[in-house]
Amino acid sequence: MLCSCKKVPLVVTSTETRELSTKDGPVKLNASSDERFRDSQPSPLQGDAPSNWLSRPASQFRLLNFAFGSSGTGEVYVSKSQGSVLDNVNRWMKQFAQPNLDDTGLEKLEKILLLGTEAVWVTAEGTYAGGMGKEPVEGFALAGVVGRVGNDIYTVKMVGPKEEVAAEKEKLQAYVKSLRMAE
Amino acid sequence: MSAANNPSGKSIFTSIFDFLSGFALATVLLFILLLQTWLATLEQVDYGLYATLRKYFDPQAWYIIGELKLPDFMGEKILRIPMPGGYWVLSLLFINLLLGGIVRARKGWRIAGVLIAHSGILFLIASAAVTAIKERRGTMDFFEGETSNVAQDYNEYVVEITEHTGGRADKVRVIRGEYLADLHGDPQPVRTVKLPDLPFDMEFTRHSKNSKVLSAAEMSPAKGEPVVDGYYIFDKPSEKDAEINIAACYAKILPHGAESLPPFIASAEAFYPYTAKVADRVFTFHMRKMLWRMPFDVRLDKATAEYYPNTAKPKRFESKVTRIENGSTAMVEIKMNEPMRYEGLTFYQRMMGRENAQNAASRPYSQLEVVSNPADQWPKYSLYVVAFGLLVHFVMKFVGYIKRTL
Repeated sequence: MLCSCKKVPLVVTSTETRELSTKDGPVKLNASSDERFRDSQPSPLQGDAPSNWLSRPASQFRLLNFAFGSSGTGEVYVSKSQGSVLDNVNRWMKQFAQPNLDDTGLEKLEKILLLGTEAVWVTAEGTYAGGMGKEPVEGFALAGVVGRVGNDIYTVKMVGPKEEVAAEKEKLQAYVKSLRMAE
Repeated sequence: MSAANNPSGKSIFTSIFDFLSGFALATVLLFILLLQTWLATLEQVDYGLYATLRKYFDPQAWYIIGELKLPDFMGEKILRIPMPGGYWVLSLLFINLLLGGIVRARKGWRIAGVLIAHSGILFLIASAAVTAIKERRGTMDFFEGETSNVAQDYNEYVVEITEHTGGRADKVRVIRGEYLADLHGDPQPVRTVKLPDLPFDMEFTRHSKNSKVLSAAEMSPAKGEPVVDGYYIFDKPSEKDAEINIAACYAKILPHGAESLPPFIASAEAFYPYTAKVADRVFTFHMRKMLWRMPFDVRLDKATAEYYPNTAKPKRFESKVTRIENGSTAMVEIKMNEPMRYEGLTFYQRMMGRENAQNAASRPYSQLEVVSNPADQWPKYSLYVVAFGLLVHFVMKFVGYIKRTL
C-alpha cells in the first residue's frame, strides 16, 4: 500500500539499548515452546461435566476439553470464537457438507441458555470433515451450541459417532446450562 | 540557457522562480491536497486510520495511488489515481507560499495582514513537517496504586535481548522494527543483525505483521510455513486498527565462532521470552512493542470513569496522578482535553477500564497517551497568527471603505 523508497540492507548493525523500566519484571527463564505459546491461564468458564466424560488438557482453541464414548473418538470442547453466530453455525454445517443457513434458518434453530444468554442449538449428521489435516470420517454427528455473550462468541461442540452423540445429547444440554464464568 | 536565447526573455532562474511562486502551482497543489484528503477519508474506512495516514502523508511516499470505489451502477470498480505523496505536496506548497505569498508579494502596510496570514499558514505547514519527523506517541497504562516510568509505542514491534546475570536482568538491547518489518515476500528475505557488544549476531526472516502462533499438532501449516519445536507462524490479514496487530518472525542466534543455534519464534503473543545460553551467558529474547523510558515516574492514585446513562459513551475520565522526579512529587489531575504537559511530554487521558470488565469491583486502570512533539502547540499558535493577520486585513479594508464613503 505504501510506496516506499527506503531499503534496509540485509546486513545491519544494531547498538541500541534501553534502560530497565517498570515493565521489566521477573521473567520465567527456559520456558518451553508449549509454555510460551499455549494459554496457561485457567479457563474463564466452568461447568459441571458428566462423570463419564474424560477431561483433557485445554489447548489453544479449547478452553475446556473432554473425550467421551466407547469408540475413543467422541469429543466435547468449549471454545471462544470469532465472527458472528451465523458464521460459526455455517462453519459447522460446512464440516458436514450441509447447506449454509441464512438469518431465517438461524431464527428457526432451537434455543438454549448459555451463560444466561439465548444461544442456538445446532445438530448435523454425515461425513465429518473437521479439518486440522484429518481425513473425513463417515457416520459422525454434531450437537452443539453457539452464542454471543457480551462481545464474545462462545461455542460448545460435541462431535463423534452418531450413536454416541445421540446418547450424550441430553447430558450435553445439561452441561451447557451448567456453564458459568469462573470466579 | 541565457535570457538572450530564451524566447520569453527570462532567465531559467526567473522561469523556475515564477513557476514555483505562481498561482497555477498553488491551485494544482491545493486541488491535490483536497483530493487526497477526500480519498484518504474514504480509504481509512477499509484500511484503518494509521495505514491510510502513512500511505498518503509519510515522507517516504514520493508518490501514491489513491483509490476511489466507484458506485455499484458503474460495476463496483476501483479507480486508481496516481499522485505525488502528501508530504511532498505540502513541502511544495510551503515553497510556493513562501516565494509567492511572502517574497514575491507586494510589500507595504496595506497588505501587512495578508503577509501575516501567509506567515501563519507557513508556520502551520512547518509544524506538520516537524510533527511528521519528530513526533512520538505511545501509551502508559497502569492500575490504581501502580507507578510507571515507561510508555509503549502504538505500532512498532521490536525484539529485545536481555542478559540475565545472577538472576537479574541487565541492560536491554533493542532490535528496531525497521530491521524486521520488511522481511516478507517471495523469496523470503533473511536479515543478519550484527550485535557488536554481544557474543552473537542474529538472523531474522518471515516477519508477519499480524500473526497467530499455532501448534502444528492442532492445525497443520497450509502454506509450507516452517515448524519450529512444534509451532509455526500463521500469517493473518492486518487489522484495520493497526495497533492491535500482533507481530512475529522466525529468529536464529549466530554465536561468534560457533555454529548457529536452532531457530525459534519471536512473537509478541508469547507468554514468556525465549531463553538461550551463549558463551556461558544467559539471554532472553522477547518481541514486544517498543518501550520508551520516561524521565520521571507517574503513579496512578485514582481513576474515575463516568458514562452517559445506559451507554458506553464516556462522560468523564479523570486520572489523579502523582509525578515523582528526583524525590520530589507533584499531584496532577489529567482529564479529557486537559492533559498534563511536562518536560516536553504531553499526557492525555485515553482510556479507562477494569481488570475484569464483567466485574465492577475489580481494579480500575487508566491508559494515558504520551506524546513527545516539539511542535505540539504550533498549530494553535499558527492559527492565532492567521486569525490576527486576517483581522488586520479586514479592519484595514473596512477602515478604507469607511474613509472612501465618508
